[in-house]
Amino acid sequence: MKINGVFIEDTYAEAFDMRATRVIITGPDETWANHAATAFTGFATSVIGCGVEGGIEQQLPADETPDGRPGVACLLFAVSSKDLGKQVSNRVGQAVLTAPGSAIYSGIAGERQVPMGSQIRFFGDGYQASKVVDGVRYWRVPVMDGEFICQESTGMVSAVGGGNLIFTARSHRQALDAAAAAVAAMKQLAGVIMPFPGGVVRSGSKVGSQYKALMASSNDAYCPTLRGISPKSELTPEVGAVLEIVVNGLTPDHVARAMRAGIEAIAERGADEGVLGITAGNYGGKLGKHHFQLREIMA
Amino acid sequence: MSGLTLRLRDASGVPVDVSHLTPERLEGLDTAAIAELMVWQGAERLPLREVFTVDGTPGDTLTVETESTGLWGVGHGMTRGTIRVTGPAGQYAGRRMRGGLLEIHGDAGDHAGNGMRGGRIIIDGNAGDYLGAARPGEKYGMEGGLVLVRGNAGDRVGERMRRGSVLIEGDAGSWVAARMRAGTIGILGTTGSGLGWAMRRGTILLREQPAALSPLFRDNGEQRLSILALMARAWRELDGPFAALNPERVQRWLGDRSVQGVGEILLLKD
Repeated sequence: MKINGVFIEDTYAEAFDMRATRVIITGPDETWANHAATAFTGFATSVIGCGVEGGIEQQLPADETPDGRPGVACLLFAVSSKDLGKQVSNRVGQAVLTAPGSAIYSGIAGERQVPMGSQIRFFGDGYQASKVVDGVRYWRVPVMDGEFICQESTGMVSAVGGGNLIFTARSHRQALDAAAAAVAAMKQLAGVIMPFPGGVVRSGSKVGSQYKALMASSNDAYCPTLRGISPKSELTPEVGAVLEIVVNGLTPDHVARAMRAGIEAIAERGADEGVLGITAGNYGGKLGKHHFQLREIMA
Repeated sequence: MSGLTLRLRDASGVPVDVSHLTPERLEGLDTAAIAELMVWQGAERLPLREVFTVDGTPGDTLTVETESTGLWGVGHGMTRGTIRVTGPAGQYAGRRMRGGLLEIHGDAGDHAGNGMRGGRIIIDGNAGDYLGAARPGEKYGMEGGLVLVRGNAGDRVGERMRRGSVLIEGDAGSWVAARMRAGTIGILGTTGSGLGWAMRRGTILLREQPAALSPLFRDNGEQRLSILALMARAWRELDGPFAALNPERVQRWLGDRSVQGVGEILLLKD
């Protein structure tokens, strides 16, 4: 299959079940809401080292937030409810409680709840107060600029992590430009985040390593500097750089739609802009239950 | 209007216990069976048909029409559905209510909302004393739900209240929120003496400067509290002045410090 001269490989992205939540962080204005949201979703590229994968899902106007102030919806994904709860609590404590004027609310109704403000309240040293509004408990923690409002818990849902696109280009700049276009298109959609820096990862990995302590290592099959010696190299001589976009979504459908938007944006640039092909990462289909066939997504 | 209508025959004010007549307890009974249910009227236990006239068919809504103040315990323990009282609702309206809606198109007597944990009571007229309050010997008053009074309320509103909201569009009497543990009381009219006495936690939201505020409530200055936006948003669906409230700035007192309380009295400044 070729779209606009860009070869779409007959393969699939292999993705995994995860646990996710959406939170809404509000602030006195968009700038301060985003400062808090950026910190809240910082260092959240991969569960391997960060414990959680997260990102900003969308900006919310004041009339769409619980307290009528400008807000930001953020998604966090973890491998277990325990990890998710721990990360939410830690991040609220370090990144939102600390941000001037901020407040944080649950943005999703889940089948289960993970703690959000139930521990942070103790920062109030006995001066904290709770208020139940419409059956929802909020904590009011006195801070130096007034009160920090934090919903007691946030909803947790089953979600999908690890959807991905890998694409090859003639030059690094052309790969970057294609990646930026794809991420911009994917960010238009609700229910997904691309957790890596700028939504893009350059250090795609394979399972295993020659070092016993490592579970994963550099995907030498796609490293252009090794194309002459890697026994599994997939790269033809004209490939100058390869980049990957990882996408996590609330449902398989969210991931599939985001992957389609990404492929369309990359393919739209076409072979004339140096894009050569699009493939996806998988582990032979044994590790993840969700398989996103690229050609089916584009059918 | 669909549903069952009970019209109280006696207008003398003799107490009539209707605490067992809720939509869910009448569910599955036909009109004839309901007419044969037994009802206490004063010291007499009578078939319902002798105490009320019965119209309509049982459904999600029960209407009780009365000119007497004798109803007792209307909506007791109800969990769903609607009870509509046309006329005075008598004592203990909505006692131990868990859900559903109790509409009172008239006045409510004493002890309305006693032991309430959920649902909503809307009182078009005035409420008596002990609205949402604990009875003597009870540990807590109201523990959830919402009561809206369009008129005035008597003394001891929300005494020992623990959770939920009591909103009064008119005036309230003395000892509002005495020994309150938590919850919200909003009063748009005046308040009497003993406001917040021995209050530990919870919120009293006022539009009128309190007539007599204990010195054991300490002034914490003028504040902008985001929690008020959340509360106001929850009140938007209510008809009337609470729905229109857009509280931004409040004067905040905390007390009662005689019991190390951090309950708040908030006076609207906008």
